[in-house]
Amino acid sequence: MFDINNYPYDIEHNCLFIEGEAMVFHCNHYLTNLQRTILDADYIDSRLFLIGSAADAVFNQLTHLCDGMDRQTSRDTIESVYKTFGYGLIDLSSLNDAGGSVSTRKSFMSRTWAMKYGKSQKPVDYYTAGFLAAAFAVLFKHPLDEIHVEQTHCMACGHDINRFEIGLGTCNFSIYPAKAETVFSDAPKVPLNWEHETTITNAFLGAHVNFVGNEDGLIPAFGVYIVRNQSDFVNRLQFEFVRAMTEVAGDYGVTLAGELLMEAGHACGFFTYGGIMTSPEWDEVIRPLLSTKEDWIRGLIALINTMGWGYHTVTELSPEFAVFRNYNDFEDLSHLRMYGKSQYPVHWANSGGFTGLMQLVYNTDLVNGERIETEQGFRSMRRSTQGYKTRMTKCISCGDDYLEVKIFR
Amino acid sequence: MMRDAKPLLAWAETQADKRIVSRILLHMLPHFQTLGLQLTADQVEALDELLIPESTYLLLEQTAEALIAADRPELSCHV
Repeated sequence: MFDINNYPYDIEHNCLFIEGEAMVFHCNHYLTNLQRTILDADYIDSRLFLIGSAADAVFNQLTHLCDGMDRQTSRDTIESVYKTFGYGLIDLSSLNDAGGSVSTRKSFMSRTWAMKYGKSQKPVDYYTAGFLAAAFAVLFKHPLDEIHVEQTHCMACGHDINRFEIGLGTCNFSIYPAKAETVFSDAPKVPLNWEHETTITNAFLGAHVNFVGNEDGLIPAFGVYIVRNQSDFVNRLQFEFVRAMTEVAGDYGVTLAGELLMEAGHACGFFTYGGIMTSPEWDEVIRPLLSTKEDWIRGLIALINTMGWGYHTVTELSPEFAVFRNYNDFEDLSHLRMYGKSQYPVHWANSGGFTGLMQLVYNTDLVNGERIETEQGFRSMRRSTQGYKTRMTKCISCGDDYLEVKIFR
Repeated sequence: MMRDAKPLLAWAETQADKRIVSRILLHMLPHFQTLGLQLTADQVEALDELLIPESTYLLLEQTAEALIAADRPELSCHV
């Protein structure tokens, strides 16, 4: 059975790889917001990359993972991977060499979409469609580009179950070229320069292994559901969306898409970081070390540096202005692996997350125990006249040594 | 006939999430492109008025109302 403990955390680069794929946590707020943004542009056939991005990353990972296993062991392992990562539960026993139908009542995406946006007109679990296409290909040694997959039922649409039909046929999702090897930046890191950084980082190092799917295949944590994503799956969604928007509207497409992608990161930063900073773990280990609001931000950074998103640091910090950096951030590493250099910054999720963190600490009363856990609360805060602006000033994909974001009023 | 879309977008901003104007612009992009308009939410806010043809205005109104109607801020998304 799949065991997350078999994969050591890369302390030097603050990341985790599983069978060749970099892995990052994201929350339901980020992923549903990201997908809604993509689907909003209904003049783009986004289904191709919504499924294709998942199929590509999962196919690469499962091909490595199942190498040398017999079919039954592979099947059990793939089901276990899906559950461990927090996507829900799947049963692949109905699949044969020609394909089959897979149904489930446990789906992260369908459940959390309905929680946040209510009923959907169309099925929303594109990730699982891509996952199943990849699983079928690996189990029965079929080329990925000869597989057809459709989600016919979705709980987010009001159905009792999610159902997928998988088989051989005209491929209905994008197929991508092989990726380059990961290249880490060797630039010396400017440390957080905070006396409690090591204490906190060491306390939480390795804690990520506790975030595995429960009996429903879900990972409830810090007031949100989190999932462990293949980093290249989720980042390809961003990159392919911006590419498609560029085809429609040139540079304006990048600008408009970027604003909305950053908002997805903002929601993630607000809800997930807010949940972390009001959690029992925070109260027990970190809060006793904090004196100022700036300490809250540094404490959060020291913790999240154990989660696989790269090495975050902050070089200037005040309520009015902050400069955040990330060395080897997950978005840039993904871009370099899949697309090479970029003409524009691509770290929308990181940037939105930093902005959400600033809003939480300086524009709410979080440090005094106020919890904002509702969509209404998030909106009220976002409408505040005290809101922050965000500028992406350095980007590894553009040739810089690190990601840099400036946040100001 | 031309109509000013500014009041409509200002109203939308009071009814939904912070980025509703960007979402509306994203939906309307092909239509605005035919008018030679490439606007961000900040640029819209800075304009005194945004004059567009009546037919585009009606599409914009439908889009804004549909997005706002689909909005469910009362849902509890806390886990």
